[in-house]
Amino acid sequence: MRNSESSFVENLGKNTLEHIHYVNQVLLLAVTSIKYGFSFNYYKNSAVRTVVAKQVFFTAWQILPQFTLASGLLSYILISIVIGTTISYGLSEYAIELALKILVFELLPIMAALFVALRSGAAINTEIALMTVNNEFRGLEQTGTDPEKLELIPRVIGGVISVLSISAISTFVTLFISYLSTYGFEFWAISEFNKIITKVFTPISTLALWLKLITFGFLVTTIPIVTGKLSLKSVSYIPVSVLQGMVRLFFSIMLVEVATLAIYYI
Amino acid sequence: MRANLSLIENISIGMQYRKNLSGKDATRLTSCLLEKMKMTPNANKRMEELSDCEIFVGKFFRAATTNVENIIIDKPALLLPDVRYSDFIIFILNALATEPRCEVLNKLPKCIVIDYEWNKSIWDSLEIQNA
Repeated sequence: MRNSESSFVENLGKNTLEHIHYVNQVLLLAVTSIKYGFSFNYYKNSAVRTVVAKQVFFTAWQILPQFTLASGLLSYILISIVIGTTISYGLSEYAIELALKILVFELLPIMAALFVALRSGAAINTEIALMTVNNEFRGLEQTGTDPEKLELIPRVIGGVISVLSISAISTFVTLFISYLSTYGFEFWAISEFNKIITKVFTPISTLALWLKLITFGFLVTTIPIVTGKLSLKSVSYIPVSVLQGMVRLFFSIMLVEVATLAIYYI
Repeated sequence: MRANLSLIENISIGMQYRKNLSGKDATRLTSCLLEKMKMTPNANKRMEELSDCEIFVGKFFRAATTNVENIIIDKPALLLPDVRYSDFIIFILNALATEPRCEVLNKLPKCIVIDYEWNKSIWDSLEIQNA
């Protein structure tokens, strides 16, 4: 009995310490990425620029048509539902405002984050876990290359840029669709639409949206990187590492989403 | 080798970082090396489209351009299953040694091949460590 109790306490302590170490590593990578991301000198090395550009290309550019189409379709359906519902309740003047708040502030950011996570998060996790198994980080260090500067931070920067850019593009598409759904191809309502936009995109809500998107951008890259880096040095463990990384990423994205909803609406 | 980079990018990215070369210069130097290896047509292909020889060359040049002291090739038969690997490795080393345009290679690394003892006779011109 005592043995099982002590092993339970030991496991609890071990797991807690592991989680603290994990969170610490994620935060450390995020902070280091911010530090280098805003440093002009960091981009002087052409390899860094190349890796960032490649990351943005694979994460955002390649999926842009599909993502734009998917977000446009979702926006059109949701806006139609919201307009139809508000008209039936006699609240049609709030239709666009409501639809935009749901889409631009809640659905599109989480959709962008999940899209990037599925597209690149799993790949990054696998790649980093493979590098860990093959001792590549040590190899790079021994040849005078800082693996964090060349391999990890550019991926984080690229991930943040990707989430921000595909969210921005899908937001423009949503605004366009919402205008067309409400007013059709008429230009007389632009000033009225602008008033609604100004009401929806207040400075505080826009700042909150930016912060949320940046946080999502960090999460979709730092969590897979750290999970891959802390993976056991065995090829057979890589699927477990990717699975852990994806689950942690999903819960982190949900946590940020719930937290922002609670802060904003409660 | 990175799966999402082409052969030429895989080699040049290391040069860009370590030698602080521009992307254009690193690509030019890598092209010289690949030209010597007669691999220019596949230079822009990614790993899944490359042969074992091309992947080996990519890995070897990646290592060679870091200016390391030694490059260890462990059981080359596994890495180069489709060619007479001793000849192929010597061909790569000759290509490196006789490439005057590759100014990034300050000195050639020492190539250590770890192979089975029964293959010893084919490694006369290289340093041999028995496996």
